[in-house]
Amino acid sequence: MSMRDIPWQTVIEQANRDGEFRIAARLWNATLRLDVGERSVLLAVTDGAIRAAGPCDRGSPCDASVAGAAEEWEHLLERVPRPLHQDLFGGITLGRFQLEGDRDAFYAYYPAVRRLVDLVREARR
Amino acid sequence: MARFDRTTGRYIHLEIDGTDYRVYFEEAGAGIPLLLQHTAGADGRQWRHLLEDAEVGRHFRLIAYDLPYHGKSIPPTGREWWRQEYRLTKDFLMQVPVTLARELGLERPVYMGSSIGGHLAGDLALHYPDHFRAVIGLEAAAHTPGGYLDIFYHPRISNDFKASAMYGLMSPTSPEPLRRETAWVYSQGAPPVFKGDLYYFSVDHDLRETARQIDTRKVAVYLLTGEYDWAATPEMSRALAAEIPGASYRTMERLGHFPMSEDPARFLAYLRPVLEEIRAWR
Repeated sequence: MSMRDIPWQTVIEQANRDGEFRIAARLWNATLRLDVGERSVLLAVTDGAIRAAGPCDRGSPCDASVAGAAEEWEHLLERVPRPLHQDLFGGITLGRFQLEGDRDAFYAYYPAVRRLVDLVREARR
Repeated sequence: MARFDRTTGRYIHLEIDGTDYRVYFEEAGAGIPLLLQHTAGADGRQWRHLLEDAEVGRHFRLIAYDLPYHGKSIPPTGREWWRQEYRLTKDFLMQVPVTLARELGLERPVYMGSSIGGHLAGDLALHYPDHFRAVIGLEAAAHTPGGYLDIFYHPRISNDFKASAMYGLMSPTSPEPLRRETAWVYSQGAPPVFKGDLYYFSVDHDLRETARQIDTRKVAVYLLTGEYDWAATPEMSRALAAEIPGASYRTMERLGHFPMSEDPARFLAYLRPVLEEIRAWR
């Protein structure tokens, strides 16, 4: 999978009007970097809404980052994920993804992250 | 006219290690007693769909209990539990269904549980083979280290995280309302309980050296695991079954860590043959 496969503007619009995401992301202010294979994207969340999502350098400063092989992201974002690949937290637990940065804040807002994964999955259809 | 569920609930007092525990349980049906153990950090509501199944209830007396500190089984008043961090041990966990069965006068009941309850199936079969005629372990494994984590009881991380993490342990094909219900139950546990239960799940439970000692001539062992369960995977359950002479194992397709609550109709398709075999074997 490539970052170019993800229509980030659509994801931002969907997330910011998605009831579940907005509730889970309430009071959230953070930057989150996703490393998909060799490419990275930086998401900026302010007051519980995604304000920007754009390509960035690997290693760009952020509050938390999640890195994984492009193949792992592809499995996670399949319309119906294959068994044992359906959840990002599961992927982190099993070592398929690497979480760096403020882990406590990441898990505090994991419900928002998990919903965001759903929205990315839907936007790729 | 009022419409009631079949299930009724009440409290029983169990004395375990010298402490009185007021334990809540729900039951439905008549016949062979079948004790139902919930997962870590949850409660007996996970079994509500099975309790309402009239066909199962024609042959089995279904009894779903809340462990002490879970659901309606509030902490005991006879000890200062608030002065130490909650931690579920194998010995205590085994005593709950054993004591409950004794107090209810159940004759060699069947035991079924999921996750910590699935692990407990093996421990009961090993340590209490004369107390149960059969055990059914859902999402069971010999050993599942790595889950006893501070993130599950952390001042900066709310119960929302637990609910969301458990949502991800289910099959994406399970009905959305039931996945949400299962996660909702997780959001309601007392903050220290889930992590404390995982002490048993990830530390105190270890059948790697002893599973082969289980005597299935005394107690039948059935293991069923959902293919989407990344915490206790089908591979782990299959390996455990291979260690227990005479045990049976089956992978449940399109189910995850909470088969009885995330998609009870699909789960029943796997459970009914097991229950029929137990009935024939009695």
